[in-house]
Amino acid sequence: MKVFVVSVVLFCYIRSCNYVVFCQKGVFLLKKSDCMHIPDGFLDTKMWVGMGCISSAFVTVAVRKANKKISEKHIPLFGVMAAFVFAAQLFNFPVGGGTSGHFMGATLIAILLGPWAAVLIMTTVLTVQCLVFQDGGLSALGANIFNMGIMGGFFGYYVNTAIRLLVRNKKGMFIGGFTAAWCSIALSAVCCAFELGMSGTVPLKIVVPAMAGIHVVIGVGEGLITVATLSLLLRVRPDLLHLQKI
Amino acid sequence: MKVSKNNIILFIIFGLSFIIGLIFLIMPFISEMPDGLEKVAKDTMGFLKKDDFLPVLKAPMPDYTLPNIKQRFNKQYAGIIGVFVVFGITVFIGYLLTKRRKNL
Repeated sequence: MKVFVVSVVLFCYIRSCNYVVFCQKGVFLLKKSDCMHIPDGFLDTKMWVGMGCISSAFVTVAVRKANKKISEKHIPLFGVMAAFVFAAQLFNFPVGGGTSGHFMGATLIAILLGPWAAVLIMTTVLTVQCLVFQDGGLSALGANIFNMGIMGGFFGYYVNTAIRLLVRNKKGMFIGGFTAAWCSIALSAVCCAFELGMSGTVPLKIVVPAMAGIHVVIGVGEGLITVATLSLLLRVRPDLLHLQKI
Repeated sequence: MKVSKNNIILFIIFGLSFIIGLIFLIMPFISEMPDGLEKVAKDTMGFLKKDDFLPVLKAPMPDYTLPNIKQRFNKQYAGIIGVFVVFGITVFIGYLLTKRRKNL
């Protein structure tokens, strides 16, 4: 009898533990998978197919726009910025609460080369990360491009443009860069959280505040790196800051 | 404004060496940091990872490390390979976009 009761209690305990772990697995793995690179299996079918369609439409338009406006002057900056963004995404810096975050870079490219170029470059970087380094899943690639490339690039670009119109001197460039980077990373995080929530991996109520809270902190780091890179380029090659935007 | 070829090559060399230097400088601090959450996740729910979250495609270098090689600068080398791959692909795409202007 005692053995039976003990085993039932043990069984229930293990089951409940498993259940708690199961509920937390989304948040846990979300934190473990550092930032916004969504792995395979986090999004359900309707979500990743939809996101893939939206992203491929955007990428097609980006290729057309770039094809019209790109010149030989753009190409070296294209390559170097893509390499820089890739390298910067390797460095996870710790944020409070046992999570780490990393640089996103779409805003930086958008400020230098324009939003459509940001979509193109982020697509390249994310595809290489997915296919060669298994960072972010192949099925979630569309969602990742949408979050980081499209949302980050466009939002950052227009925030930066608005601030540059308000503050017209050299300070405006740094203020605009910082604010745009911060806003873009916050928006990307919220988008990512909504995608995860809507595909039912994690409850929406948990994931949106968690992602937003973490990325408010990460955004400061992003802003600082953006401003540092802009000031470095201003020293080395100021002419690159005035290229035609794609 | 005219851009000389020398200038472009100088910019590329400067940029890439800056990035590679950055990788070598910062990487040790990154990899030495104990990732507490990763450990917790592994201890409590290692079983979940195997069943539920299999990647669709096996990548040659998962988690930015060269496979089957135990070396001190493993992560750095993987990072540098990635930098060159990304750089090459982007420049190639840019080159195609400038050359085939009317075909697209």
